Amino acid sequence: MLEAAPRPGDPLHVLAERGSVPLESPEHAVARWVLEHGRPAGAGTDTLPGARLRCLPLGTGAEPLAVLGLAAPDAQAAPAPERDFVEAFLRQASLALERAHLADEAKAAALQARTEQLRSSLLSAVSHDLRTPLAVITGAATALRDDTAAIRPAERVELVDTICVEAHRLERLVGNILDMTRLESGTLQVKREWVPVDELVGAALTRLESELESRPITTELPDELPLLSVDPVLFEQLLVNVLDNAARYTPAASAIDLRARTENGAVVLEIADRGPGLPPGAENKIFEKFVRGPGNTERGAGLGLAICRAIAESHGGRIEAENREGGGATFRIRMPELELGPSEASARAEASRGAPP
Amino acid sequence: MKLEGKRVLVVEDEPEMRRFLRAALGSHGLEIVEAATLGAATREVTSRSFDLVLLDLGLPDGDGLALAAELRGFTGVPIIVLSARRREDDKVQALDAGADDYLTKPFGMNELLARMRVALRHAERAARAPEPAVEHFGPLSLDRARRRVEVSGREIRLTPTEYRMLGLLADHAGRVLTHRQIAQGVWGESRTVEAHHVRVHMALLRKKLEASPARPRLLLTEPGVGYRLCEPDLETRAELPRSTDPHPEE
Repeated sequence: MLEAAPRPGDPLHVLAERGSVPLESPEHAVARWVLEHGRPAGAGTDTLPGARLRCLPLGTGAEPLAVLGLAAPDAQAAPAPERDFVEAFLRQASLALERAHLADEAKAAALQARTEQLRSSLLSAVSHDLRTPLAVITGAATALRDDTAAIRPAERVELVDTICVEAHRLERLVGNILDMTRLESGTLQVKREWVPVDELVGAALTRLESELESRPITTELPDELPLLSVDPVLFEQLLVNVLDNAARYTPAASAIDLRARTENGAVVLEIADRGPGLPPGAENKIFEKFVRGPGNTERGAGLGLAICRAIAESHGGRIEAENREGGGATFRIRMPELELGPSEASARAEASRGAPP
Repeated sequence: MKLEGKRVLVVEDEPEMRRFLRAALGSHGLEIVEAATLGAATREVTSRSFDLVLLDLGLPDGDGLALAAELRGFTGVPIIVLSARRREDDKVQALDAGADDYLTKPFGMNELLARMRVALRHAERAARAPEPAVEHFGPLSLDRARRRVEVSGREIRLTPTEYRMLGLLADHAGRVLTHRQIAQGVWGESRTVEAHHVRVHMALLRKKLEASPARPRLLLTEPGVGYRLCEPDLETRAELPRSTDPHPEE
C-alpha cells in the first residue's frame, strides 16, 4: 500500500495497493498519523502497534510526502537481507517522490510567474494607455477653461477635437479591456443564433462607417452561403476588430476586400487589405495579447486581435493571418458549418420561395 | 423637428451627468427638469406633462425600466434610455418594456439630439392624423395607398411578408425594433416566430432594397437587438473629427 499527499485539500490519496490488505479504517488511521507526524507507526512500533500494517514515512524533508505500508507477518523477525532491501527501497522511493514533488512545484511556480507577468504587462499597458488620453483630455479641457489665455478660434476647434478623439480612444480601450476580461474569465456566454453572413458583415461595416469612409471596399458574399450559428454580438465584434485593425495599419485610401465561401464543411470569411503586410514570423504573434504592430503610434493595448481569437475559439472556429499575394495581409476566419435544424431550414426555404407564411 | 421649448425630464442619479445634460440641452432651448431617483421621477411625471423623458436605468432606488413600464400605462411620452450597461439583453428589455430608443454611455451630443428629434417627431405623428400618402426614406418611397414600393423611381416587388415588415419599420422609422417586436408585428401575436425567421426575411428585403446589401444604408442592424429603418436625422452619425495623426505604415 502506498499513500501520498501530493495535492492540497486531498491529504490522503491511494496511489497503489498490493496484496490482500484491506484499506479500511485502522490502517488508514495509522497512515494518516504517520503522514502528520513523520515517524513510523503501526505493527512492530510503539505507536498503534495493534495495526496489521507497519507504516513508514517516505520523503527526505521534515514532512513526509507519502506513507509506505508494509504487511509482513513479523517485520522485526525478517532476515537481514530483506530488511536491507526494504530500507534501500524506502530511500529510493523517497528520493523519487521528492524529485516529482519538486518538479510539480517548479511547474506551479513557472505558471504563477507567467500569470504575474501577464498581470503586470496588463497593468503597465493599461495604465499607460489609460493615462495618455486622460492627460490629453485634462490638458485640453483646462486650457479651454483658462480665462487668462487668448485662445484663437482655430486653436479652440483643435482643443475640442482633441478631447473628442482622445475620449473615443479611451472608450475603445476600456471596451477592449472589458471584453478581454469577460472572455478570459469564462463568464461570457456564447448565445448562438442562426444569422445570415451578410447581416453580420453589414452590421460591422455600418459600425465602422467613419473609420472606413475613405476606402474602396468590395464584398463578395455568395447567395448560397449557409446561416452561421454564432453569437451575433460577439461575431460582429470579431469582424469589427479585424476591419478596424486593417483600417489602422494600412494607408488611408487602400482597398479592403471581404469575401466568404464554404470549404470542407466550414464557412470561410476572408478580410484582405493592401497594406504593408505582416513582418515575417508575426502571423501568430499578432493574435497574442499586448502585441502591437511595429511603428504603431496609434495607442492601444494590443488587445483587438487577441479578442478576435478568443471569440473565434469560443465558437469552435479559428482565425489566422498571412501575407497576401501582391501585397497586404489576409485575415481568415474559419467557422464550422453546422447542420441546419428543421426550423432554420424551413425559414430559409419559405423565404427563398418568397411565399407568404 | 424643433427642440426649443420642449420640456424634458432627465432621470439620472449621477450629478455630473445631469450637469452636462442641463448645460448641453439647455443651450438648445429645452426646458430641463431633473430627477435623481425613481421616486422623484414618479412624482414629476404624475404632477405635470413632459414632451420627452431621458431615463437612466441604474437608479439608487430601483430600475429605470419600472418607470418606463409605469409611464406606458398612461402616456405615450417618448422615452429614451441612457445607460452605461453595454449588454444587448438590457437594450432588448428596455425596448420591449416600451422605451422608444436606447443610447449607451458614452454618447455624443449630436447622436442624442438626433434621437430626441426622431422620438419627438414620432410622438407628434402618432398624435396627428394618418400618414401622408407617400413616405420617403432616402431613395426608398413607400406608397401605402397603392401598396407600391420604389427605390430611385424603380418599382420593387415585395412578398406580403416583406411588405408587412417594411411597413412596420416605416411606422417606427428611425427607431430600433426588437426581433420580438418585428415578429409580432409581421406574423401576429399568435404565431411563435423565432429570431432567425426575422433575420432571413430581413436579408431578402435588403437584397431587394439596398444598392449594396452588405453595406446597408436603409435597413440597419443593431446586433443582438433588432433593426432600424434609417431616417435622415440619424444618417449623420459620424460626429467625431477625423484623427489628425498621420497614419503610420506597418
